[in-house]
Amino acid sequence: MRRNWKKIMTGTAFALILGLLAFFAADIPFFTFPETSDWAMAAADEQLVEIAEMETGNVVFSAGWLEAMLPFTIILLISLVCIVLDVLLRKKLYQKNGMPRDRVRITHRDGQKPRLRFGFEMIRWFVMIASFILLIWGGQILGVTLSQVQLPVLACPYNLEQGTSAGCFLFSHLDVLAESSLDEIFWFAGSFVVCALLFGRLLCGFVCPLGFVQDVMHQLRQGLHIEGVSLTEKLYDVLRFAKWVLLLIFLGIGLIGGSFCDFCPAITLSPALAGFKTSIYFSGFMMVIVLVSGFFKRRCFCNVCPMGYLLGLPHKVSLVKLKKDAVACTECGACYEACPMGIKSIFTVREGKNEQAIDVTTADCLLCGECIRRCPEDGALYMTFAGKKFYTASRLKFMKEYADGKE
Amino acid sequence: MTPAEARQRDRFDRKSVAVAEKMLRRMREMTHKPAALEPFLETLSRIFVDREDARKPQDIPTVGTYCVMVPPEMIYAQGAMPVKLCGGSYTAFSIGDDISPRDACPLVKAVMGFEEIDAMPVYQNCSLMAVPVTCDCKKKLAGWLSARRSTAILHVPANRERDEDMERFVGELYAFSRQLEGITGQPLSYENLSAAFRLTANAQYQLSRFIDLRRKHPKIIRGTFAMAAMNAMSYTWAPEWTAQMAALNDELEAIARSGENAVRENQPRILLTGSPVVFPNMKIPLLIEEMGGLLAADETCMGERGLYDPPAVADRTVDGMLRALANRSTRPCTCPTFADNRRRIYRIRQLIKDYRIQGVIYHVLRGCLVYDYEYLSLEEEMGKLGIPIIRVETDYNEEDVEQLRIRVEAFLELIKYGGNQS
Repeated sequence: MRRNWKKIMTGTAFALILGLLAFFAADIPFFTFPETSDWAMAAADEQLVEIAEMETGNVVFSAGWLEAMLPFTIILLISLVCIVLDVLLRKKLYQKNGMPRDRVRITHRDGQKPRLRFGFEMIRWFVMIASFILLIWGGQILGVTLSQVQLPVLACPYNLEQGTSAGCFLFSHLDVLAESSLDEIFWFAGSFVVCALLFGRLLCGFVCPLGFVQDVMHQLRQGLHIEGVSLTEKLYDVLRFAKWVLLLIFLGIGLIGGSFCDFCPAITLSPALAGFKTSIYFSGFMMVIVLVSGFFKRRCFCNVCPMGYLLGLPHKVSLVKLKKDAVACTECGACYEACPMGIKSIFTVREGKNEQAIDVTTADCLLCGECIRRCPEDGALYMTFAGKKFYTASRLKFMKEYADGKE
Repeated sequence: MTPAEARQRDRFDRKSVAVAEKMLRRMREMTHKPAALEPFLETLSRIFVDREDARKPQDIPTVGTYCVMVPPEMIYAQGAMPVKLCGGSYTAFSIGDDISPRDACPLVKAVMGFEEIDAMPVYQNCSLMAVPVTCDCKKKLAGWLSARRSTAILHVPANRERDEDMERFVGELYAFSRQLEGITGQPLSYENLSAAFRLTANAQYQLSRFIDLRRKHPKIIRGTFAMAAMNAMSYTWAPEWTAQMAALNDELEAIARSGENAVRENQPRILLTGSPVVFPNMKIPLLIEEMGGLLAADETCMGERGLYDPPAVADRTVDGMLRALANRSTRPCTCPTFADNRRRIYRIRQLIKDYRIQGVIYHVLRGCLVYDYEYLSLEEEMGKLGIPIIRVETDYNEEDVEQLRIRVEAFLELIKYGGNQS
């Protein structure tokens, strides 16, 4: 009972602090550009037109672009310091506990030549890179922006030159939505419904630029073989709670007069890369958290992302599904170990209407396909689009990837 | 050595060699033996008939392991060679019988016998014994061994659902790694661990090819041969076994192309499951196949399961690899020493589907309570599927062979002529 109290108290305190930080985010500047100090307010007042005048240089590597990238560079540096500090502290700790010396040694040697293998994973990276470019520089490259389409991913709407508009703005500014024209509401709701039905959280796994950045951080760690955090239910419990708090802030903050954008980490990257000088408030600290946590725990922010969760809610009617053949499954837990979202039910579920095709998609599932890639049982896990299998686990495929660099 | 001990030693020498030779001869006399199987039989013959130590490329220590929960990858990584020491010798069993309770399982009695008689180099030369605490007999064995040898006792969680239990097992593996470092002087590192993973990965790749071939052509090879190959793995340096297995796979692929079968079309396809079948105790597989059945698949831990599950490395770090090993060693394991083991029934159902199994023989070693416990739930499940199943209880001696022969024969006849009623 006492432990429960403790839990409730710390939970409430955490939620309160996060809520206050979000509400007063605009008062905690991370980096402000002098001429655009009232930028955020302008945006909140929906005077987006003014912003367009503030862009100075959107040619990559021009002086204006470099200036716009300054805050993000600072974020990167702070993140780097955090990561190095963590590695050093860990080294000390392990030495004290008599752990193997090499447990935290940084090495890039693998004894194995990296080999590119065409498959789901490669397609995912290709789509991620392509959508990252299109979502950030799409307007500049193609000359048109589909600004009516509001893709429900964290591609920052403050970047006016991206390929499409982002749905996150209206979700977090419900007050603005209430005052919008019917036409706008129609486009907003329409693009959300179509995206949720057709792809669901496939967009998180394949399209979201913030997801891509986190995946890059993860690959960086994999390349250096630095130990991450242990993934356990306890960690995921904390993350799940943080997700609920963030969801509440995300939907409610507009109604009580704050702006989620000053809090949202996505604002630090996309506009800057496109050359928009954007003043950054609490978002800067959030982005440091996203990068550092994404480095040590794969796609950590996706676990708490309110936008993604909303997109995943209608997974029951979505066309893309992750399914499991419970008879073929050996419950080895490889999928759980591989899952960046820590979905445990995928490996424990046994009962279902049809034992050979249990729907294991949840609102958290990013459909990134990592579980299928790590599944060593033929057909135990597979992904379907409108009932058609398009990616299936295979033992020989798994073994070929695992036993690469043969003899 | 007292005269009594000398007599016992002498009897052990004669009898154990005779049994091993007889089992090998019976295997060699079976029809449709692929030529590439010979290296596996030679390995068994070297260990049990010629009494040699396991062959190693360099002079490195060996580590004896007692259950599939000990990851061989770690032992290879830290510069030692793993050998599986679960005993199957009738002669060693009779020695162990005198120093253990009557109802202890014969496998553990055989291990104690080997330890007591001190005549098998593969047992004697081990620098470290790794005993996971699985069933009661293994638990007592761990205590008994640690009084005489340097022993690593690994606590295996009794349940696998909670993540804390997994974490604890990862901790056990770190402790085990420290003990390994003590005998080899080589600490665990990312490089040596990933090199070791590659050794076993190649072995597992060949095994997967073998399994794939058998699934596609269930009649391509006799199960006794498959079990002999898996038993030989216990005493073979991994790359050597990989090469032997690759040769066997190539031969089988050629046979598959020519459309030949190892057995006749109407031979009943049998699945053997239950207590471990350790060489030279091959009487059940040999009986099944000599009586006209085809041992199409097995679900025993000295058989296919010994190397079946690969670790899925999702995080390429030392810790990530150990987590993958901890996961692999416990979660998919169908060992009945885990409290909840429903996955074993699913596993058997999948095997029945993959190999088009017509009957299940459930092997129980006398005193192996955990396997005996699971018989009833499996029988019920097989009843639902309409697959006949019998339970055969045996001990480490040859006195019950005739009785077993009658039962196995009747079971095979039932499948052959009795239609599908169970």
